[in-house]
Amino acid sequence: MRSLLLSLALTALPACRQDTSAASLSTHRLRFIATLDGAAANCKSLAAPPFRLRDARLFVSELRVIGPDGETPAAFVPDSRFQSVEVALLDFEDATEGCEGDSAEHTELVFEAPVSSVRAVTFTVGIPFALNHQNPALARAPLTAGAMHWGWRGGYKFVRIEAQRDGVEGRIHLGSTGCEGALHAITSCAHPNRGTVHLELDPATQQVALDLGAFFGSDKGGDKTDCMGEPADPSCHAGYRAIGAAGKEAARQSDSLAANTTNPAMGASAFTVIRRTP
Amino acid sequence: MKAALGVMALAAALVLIGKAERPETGWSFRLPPGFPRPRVPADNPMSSAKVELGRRLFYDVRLSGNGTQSCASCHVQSRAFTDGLANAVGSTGEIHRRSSMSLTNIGYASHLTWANPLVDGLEAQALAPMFGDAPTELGLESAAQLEARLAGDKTLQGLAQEAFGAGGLTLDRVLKALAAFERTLISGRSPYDRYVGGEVSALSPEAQRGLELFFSERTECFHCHGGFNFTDAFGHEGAEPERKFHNNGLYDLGAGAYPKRDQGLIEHSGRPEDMGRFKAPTLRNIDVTAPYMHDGSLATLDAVIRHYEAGGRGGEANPRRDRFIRGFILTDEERSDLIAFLESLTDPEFLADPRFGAP
Repeated sequence: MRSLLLSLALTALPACRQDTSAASLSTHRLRFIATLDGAAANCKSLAAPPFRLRDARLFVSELRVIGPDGETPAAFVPDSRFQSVEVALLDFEDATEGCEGDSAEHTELVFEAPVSSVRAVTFTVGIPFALNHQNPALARAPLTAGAMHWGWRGGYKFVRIEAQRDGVEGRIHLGSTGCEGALHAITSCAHPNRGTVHLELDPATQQVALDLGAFFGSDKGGDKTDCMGEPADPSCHAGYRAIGAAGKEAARQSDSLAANTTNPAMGASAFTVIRRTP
Repeated sequence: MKAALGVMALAAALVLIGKAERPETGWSFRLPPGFPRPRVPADNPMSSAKVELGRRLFYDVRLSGNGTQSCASCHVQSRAFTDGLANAVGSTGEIHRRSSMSLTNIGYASHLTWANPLVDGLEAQALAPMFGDAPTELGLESAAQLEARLAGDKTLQGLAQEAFGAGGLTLDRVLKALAAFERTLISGRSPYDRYVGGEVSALSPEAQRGLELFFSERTECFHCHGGFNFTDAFGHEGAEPERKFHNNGLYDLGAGAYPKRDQGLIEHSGRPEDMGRFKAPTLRNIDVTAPYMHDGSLATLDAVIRHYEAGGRGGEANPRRDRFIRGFILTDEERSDLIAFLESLTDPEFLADPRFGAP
């Protein structure tokens, strides 16, 4: 079924240079690692001041890969928890130490694409409009109701990074804001706030480092960083730069089913390519 | 007195605009005289089993992550489903920037919570306290967590079967049952209602004078707190609701600004004119829901009336206050008359009705 979905997606995209010999799907794994100041980071390593991790989760979607023969859309391999064909939840917290979520983590995107090897990836940090505003009580994984749903905004938090820095709790919640309609029937959002990340890498030998510090920017620990997604809020500026959404906000592209296009964005400062550790 | 009669006629007309109650299989709202029927979503019809399931869930601490709180922790029946606190406290001890809202006649609300234009239904609203994290209220982590906790409860599963059929007690059904129960929280048997119904002695002379003041152009109270539910944020079956918000001049930190911690509707819309705009809550049972305002910053009805007498903070210089907040002068006697009228909106039957209490 998912192969069928993917081939439908492929045929619908004329920009895709499809080589018949490469039409057979290969499964690829793109590994992520959370970092802080260049060192690997998780709930256990960040359990004491000055940086105590509380939460680190984000949604990615609209994955495209560049292989030897050009660019093609890719499909996530669905599991029961973190990935559907369209959306994947990256989860770097395991509920140990100061973290408050649940024990399961998901730090590797598993996807299928008609390429034998991957040279680069492009993906959206966020959830497509058509999926973002559904009733989470009826949604399938990873969009079920829970800590990543944004009850009062009528969508999901695309990013949830929380940490205590120098004794002060800080929260970075990024997602679509300025939405109109009703909670599970949103008609448009003034600020889509989706980021675009483009990375040149070979997933076989390289991985993606996600810099948790980038979401808090240069403000000193002790400053109250409490970003509830509003792009005009200075607490949110670093977060939107971190996911490559800052340039989009300047364009103020209205979001709706009819106009759900992505704009060129500035680089996503939180994402870098590093050598894959064994 | 002529004015008072006119007011009574107006009030009576307002309470009579609803339709007569229609039969629904095995279900009756038992509406107070003249009350319209609440709006009920087509995909969540009322039934006795569903309401009973919702009542039990409303009082069930398994709806909080750490098992310490239920909906009723912040919505206490004897306080008209508020908690007596200026700022609500969540299951993990986190303090809410806002005050718990009354659930009196919540099924008639056009939109829910203090300042959110998106929350149009009780089913969707319940997700926010259950899963919200800014602040943490009930603090559930996931739908699966809740469903697993309830899976072994034979009483709840039996009611779910009766209300919804096979399929168990899913999160969607939890939300629907809670909403159905909330729609039954109807209050309309206060002394004021008896007075409107023709029992003139139900209101003291003080309260009757207060009623006249309340509905006068002098105080302007009724512009935002009008209609049978004493709020302009209402709807009912056959009446498409309007989602209204007002700035009542509670703050003016220069150019009408509210404290950054809570600026009301502007947080959603980003429009400058929405600074400090909040929903006008119902005034039914208002005497038992102190302290007042979205942040619980006014302790008594006396303080609230004095706030409006002053025309809010900043007075005429406040560019954001609602045009009906203009200030007025009351004598001490008039102020206590107005309070006596507000007290007459308390419905003791509602505050003690076992149908709304803990199972």
